[in-house]
Amino acid sequence: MNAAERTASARWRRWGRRLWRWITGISIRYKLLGMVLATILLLGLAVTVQVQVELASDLRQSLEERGIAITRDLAEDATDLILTQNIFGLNQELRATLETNPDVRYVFVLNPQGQPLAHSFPNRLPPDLLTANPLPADVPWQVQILNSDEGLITDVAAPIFEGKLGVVRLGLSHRRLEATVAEATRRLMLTTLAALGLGAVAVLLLTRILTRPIFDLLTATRAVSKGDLHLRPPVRMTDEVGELTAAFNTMTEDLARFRDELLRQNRQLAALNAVARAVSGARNLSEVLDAALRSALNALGCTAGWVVLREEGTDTPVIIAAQGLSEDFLSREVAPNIEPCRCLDILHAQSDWQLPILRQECPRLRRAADHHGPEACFDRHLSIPLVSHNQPLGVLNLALHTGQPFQAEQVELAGAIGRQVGVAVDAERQRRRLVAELARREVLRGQLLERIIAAQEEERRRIARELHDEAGQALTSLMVGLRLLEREVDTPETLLHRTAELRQMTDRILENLHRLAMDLRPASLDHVGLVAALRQYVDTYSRQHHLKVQFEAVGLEGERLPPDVETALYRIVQEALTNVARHARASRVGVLLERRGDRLVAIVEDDGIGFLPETVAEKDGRLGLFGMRERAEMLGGTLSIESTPGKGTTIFVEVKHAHSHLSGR
Amino acid sequence: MRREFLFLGIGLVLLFLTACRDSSPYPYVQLNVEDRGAVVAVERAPGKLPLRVAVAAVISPKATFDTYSPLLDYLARRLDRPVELLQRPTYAEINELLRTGQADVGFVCGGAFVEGEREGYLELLVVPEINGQITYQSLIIVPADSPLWNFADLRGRRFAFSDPLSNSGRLYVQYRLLQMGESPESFFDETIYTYSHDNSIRAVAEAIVDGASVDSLVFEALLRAEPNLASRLRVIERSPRFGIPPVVVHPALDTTLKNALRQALLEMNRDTQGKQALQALHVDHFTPPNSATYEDIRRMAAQVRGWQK
Repeated sequence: MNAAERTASARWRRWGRRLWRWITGISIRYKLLGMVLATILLLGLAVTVQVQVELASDLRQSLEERGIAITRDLAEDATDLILTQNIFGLNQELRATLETNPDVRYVFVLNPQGQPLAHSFPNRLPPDLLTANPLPADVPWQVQILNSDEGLITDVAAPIFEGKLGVVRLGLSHRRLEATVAEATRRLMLTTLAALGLGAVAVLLLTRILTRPIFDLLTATRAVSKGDLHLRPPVRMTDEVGELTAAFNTMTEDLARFRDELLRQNRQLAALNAVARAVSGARNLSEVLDAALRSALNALGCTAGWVVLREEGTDTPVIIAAQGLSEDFLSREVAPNIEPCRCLDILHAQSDWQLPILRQECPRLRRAADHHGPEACFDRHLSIPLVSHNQPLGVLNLALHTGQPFQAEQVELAGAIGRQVGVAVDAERQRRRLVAELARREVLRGQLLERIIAAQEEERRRIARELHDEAGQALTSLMVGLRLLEREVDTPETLLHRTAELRQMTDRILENLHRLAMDLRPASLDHVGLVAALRQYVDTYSRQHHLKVQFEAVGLEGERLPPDVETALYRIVQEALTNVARHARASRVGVLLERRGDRLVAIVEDDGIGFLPETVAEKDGRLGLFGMRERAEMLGGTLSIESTPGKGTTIFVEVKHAHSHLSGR
Repeated sequence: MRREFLFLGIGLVLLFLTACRDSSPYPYVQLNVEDRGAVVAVERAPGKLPLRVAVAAVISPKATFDTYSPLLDYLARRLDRPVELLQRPTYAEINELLRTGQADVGFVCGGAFVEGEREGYLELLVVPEINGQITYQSLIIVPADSPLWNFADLRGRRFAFSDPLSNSGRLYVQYRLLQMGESPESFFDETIYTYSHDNSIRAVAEAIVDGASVDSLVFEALLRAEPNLASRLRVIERSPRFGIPPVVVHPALDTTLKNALRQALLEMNRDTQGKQALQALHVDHFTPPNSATYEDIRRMAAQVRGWQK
């Protein structure tokens, strides 16, 4: 394929595509019309051509057979006429043949020399004919179609008396045959035309029937695309188009339903959003409830409503917010000893209590009606449970006008609003509790600070006293002893006794100083680590207080912890043991220090009298406990106390511990 | 690619539909000619005048043509001139050709000869000898399954004559009836002329007529040619023997020609071509005639036709 051919081929393809686009772009009605008309036309043409060919062939055949029969008859008849030299009779015979057979154009007789004996032409025998259709010997007849100035001629030659007397030649004109074929063709064409006309009408009617549902569908589709989901094209037939229409209608219905659902959910979301926005802007519970009530009224199309909450602690239902209600109503309903609406109880009594209900017999509304107040127009209210963490907090009541319709959709929305408001109320309450807790802790922190300062003063006083009482006294004694020593220089036996006495005294002083230093901050903590320091402390503690203390450290051997952790744990255990010594009246104490994964756990337990952790007196142990907890929390850990009166006490400390100091070294 | 083929196909069909009407594959002839055409051929070839031989329709013209063609060829050679066979449907017409000189020599029936002889325009030239005889018979035949067993049974029946001038085909029956005091019109219900003996035989065989009188020579020759005919025919009467159909000429014919003709015919059995011609004619040979042989016929004709002696 060279370049020119490729170009030509591409052009063909381009034209083909253009034609195809044009064809496919035609309306289906005209496509069908075109198809049917083309089919009829093709069929008509095919039949016409077929009939034309076959009829012509048949007629030619029959013409030929007739010609052969006539010619052979003539040859037979001519034999005797020629043998009896009856040329006139021969001429008569030829004329008769010509006259009785309309298709015969000419007939003539040639003698064996090929010269004419008789012929049917008015004047002369055309010379062309003499040489045309020569008859071979021993052939019963010979047919040759000739083309002449008068159209086609079937020329039949038959020998007379086996050729001894010459040849009869007969010419049959095709004119009548052709006329017949032409007439048949004309009729077939007329029939085809009639069929085309009928076909066109039928197709137009049929396509109208066929395409009408399609156009209906088209219209409906356009309507749908513009957002109108109400158009339902009728299902006219049960064929594919009918099924399509039915499917379309189902789809449109589904679409409409989904859209309505979507809109409904959107409205709900908008309403919930409005509630959330209103509630989030509120600063306290009252504002939260006011905002929630306002939003709920707006979202549900109501004008009046109130919120009843169970009071914390007492669980008494109290009207805590109201909208659209008169002062009379409110003052009446908040008065003590008045029959409250039982809606909260009724709501919680039903199995599916998280769903809103309609209350028909509200005593509050009844009383309003009795007093002919402005609330007399309400005859029932919708009770929306306020729920948080699956716990009922209260109820939001929306008053409904007499006869005001209320739909399931609104009930659902009301439920959602109720849950949201419940969560908001709960959050607000939680916040309030946290604030209170914070305030309480602040107070404790202040007390601790005071206590620390006091403890420092106490410590200083104690050190001063101890220095004064013990070290001062001892040093004074030492001074006195030294003075005595000066005097007793002369008496060596006394001097030796005195020196021993002074050394003992110095030992005591040193021990006291050491104890003092240990109490302030054990030097061993810095030098030998937590475990060794605690073990040393526990030994001292055990001796001092005559208590059996079991100390155990697991997974911490030879390991140094961060200094703050070591200090904090040392102080917590020290405080705990101090408390045991002061209050527990225990006989045995167990101290466990254990590494559990990345955590450090310290447990101090005793078999003492125990206590109720909630009822620890403020000034006394509580501050100590609070200090311990503070220390634990400073390290990101927790401290818990388990104690029951008579069953001993366990203090459980857990702090996070990184391995930095183990790996760092 | 497929679409291109489609277009091509449609184009070809259209081309075929429009083109198939023109450019005929047949030879052309001009039918309407003014003066250029051929006229009817002159009947005689230029050169020597042909010898015209007239043969009476004893048998059908085609059979006659076949039978006599070798003879004509022989004569043409012997006489060195073209020979033309003249046939006419009736004996009377043959007689007329001979009488008026349109024919030179004639093969005629005994009945026709005695008629021409009486009128003075026929004379015997030679007679054929067939199976050693120069006589023949008239046979009365009926269909094989016919209930008729003798001539008298034919009364009131349909009967076929061959020719008005035929001896065996009519004159004998006329004479026979005259002897019985009857005439064909009174005796038969209906009579027809077949104008040749083989036609008469076929008419009986196909029971178109109830009976016919035919030339015994023709009858025997036909049965030889078509043996199955014999089973369909029955001969119920044989006439006495009559003079065989002779070869005749006009008495005024040029003597030289007459002699040449006679000699040619008499010498046929000495010539190869002549022998073949005699064989075709089923004739042994030609012999000089004896006028007395035809006396019976002359007598019967005189009685039947009421001749005045």
